[in-house]
Amino acid sequence: MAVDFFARPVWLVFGLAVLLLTPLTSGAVRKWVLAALNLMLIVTILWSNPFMVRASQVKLSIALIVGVGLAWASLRLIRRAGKPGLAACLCSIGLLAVWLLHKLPHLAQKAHLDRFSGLLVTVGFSYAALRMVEAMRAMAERRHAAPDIADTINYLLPFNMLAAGPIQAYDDFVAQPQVPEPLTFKRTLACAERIVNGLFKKYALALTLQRLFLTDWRSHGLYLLLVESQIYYVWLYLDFSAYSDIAVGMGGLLGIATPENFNRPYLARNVIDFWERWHISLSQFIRRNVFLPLQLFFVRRSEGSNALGAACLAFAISFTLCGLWHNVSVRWLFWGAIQASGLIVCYLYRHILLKRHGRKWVNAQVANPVQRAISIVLTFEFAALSVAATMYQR
Amino acid sequence: MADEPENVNQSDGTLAGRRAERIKIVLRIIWMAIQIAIVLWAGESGVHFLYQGF
Repeated sequence: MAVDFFARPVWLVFGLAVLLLTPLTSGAVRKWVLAALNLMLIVTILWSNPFMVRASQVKLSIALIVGVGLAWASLRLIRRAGKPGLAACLCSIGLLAVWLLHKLPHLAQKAHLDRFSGLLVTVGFSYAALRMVEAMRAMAERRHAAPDIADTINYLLPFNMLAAGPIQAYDDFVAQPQVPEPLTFKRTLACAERIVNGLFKKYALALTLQRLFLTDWRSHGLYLLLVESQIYYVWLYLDFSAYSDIAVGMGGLLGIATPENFNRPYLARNVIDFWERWHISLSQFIRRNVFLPLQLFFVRRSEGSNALGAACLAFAISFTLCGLWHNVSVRWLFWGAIQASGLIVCYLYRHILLKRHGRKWVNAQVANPVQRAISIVLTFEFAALSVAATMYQR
Repeated sequence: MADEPENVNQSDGTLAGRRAERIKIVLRIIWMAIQIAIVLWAGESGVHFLYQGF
């Protein structure tokens, strides 16, 4: 995770944001103040790093401003280019190069760009890169006007979503009102609850589970490793969803549209259902930007004769890329392949059942409580064991 | 949460309904206070204590 939500700079910026943004009634002033606060968080984190000398802090702060400027210029270029698709492709190559530097630290070291790579970690570049893809696509398809610098900063580097997402769709960012509705008592209470719940999940539940039961896969014997894999998956949910809870709570208090990222994933009944409940903003990003365009491409290529094959191929490519997004390694490629296989098997199985028995019969099976319980347990084990197989190392 | 209707959990307008609503709000605030207290305690010493005690 890029930013520790318990670190002082985050709460400082959040407190300032509540104080400064709440009374503002001008949308234009509000967005510039928010942009300044978003940058302030990153600069504060850089400047409070005790392992960094002053010269590096200055250089990285300048690099941050230059990076934002480049992103803004790229979006304007794509929006105004005669061939927006070509401009988007060229900008994507640049984005991919920076992303590879972020994901492959040894590459950054070889290119003497380790400090720069530290900046990318601070800005949560894995997420910023996906938001940049969303914005570039919106520009290339001319869905919206090019953003100004403040909007570029607020979309790419929102302080409440810096640590671990969620990934906001560019359409949702543009659609949110410039000045949010005044907070009611109930809404304030609900948002405060989300923040406190997030803190409780992360710093009481997840931390306790981690300290008491997780051994970094050093347990002896298959039985203990199996137990650890179950607890690791519970820990992962508590830790990750805690970040999302805090982000959603902060966003709600400040009027920053922040999408939900989890919807009781342990109740998922199959792998497709799981991906509609776990890291929802990422799966929707994949659906919008990879899966649907690929599926459409393959369907057109087969002239509509092989819709099933098109969907399977689109699943395979989308989730292999999703694995590589998590980490550029064979381990995560394997994880992506497992997820893709699960999705394909699930998709084909549903297709066969519908074809053989019809929708009525399938709905009756879905409503059966015993079958529901079995499918929930199987999906839980699939998710837990696939993560364990990926993370396991001696 | 953005789409959550404002009238969720609203009382039915009767005196008993309003009182139940107020009690629920107080309980939610108390639960938040308990969670914050646990987080502050568990942050370092609490978890360490549990870990040592196990």
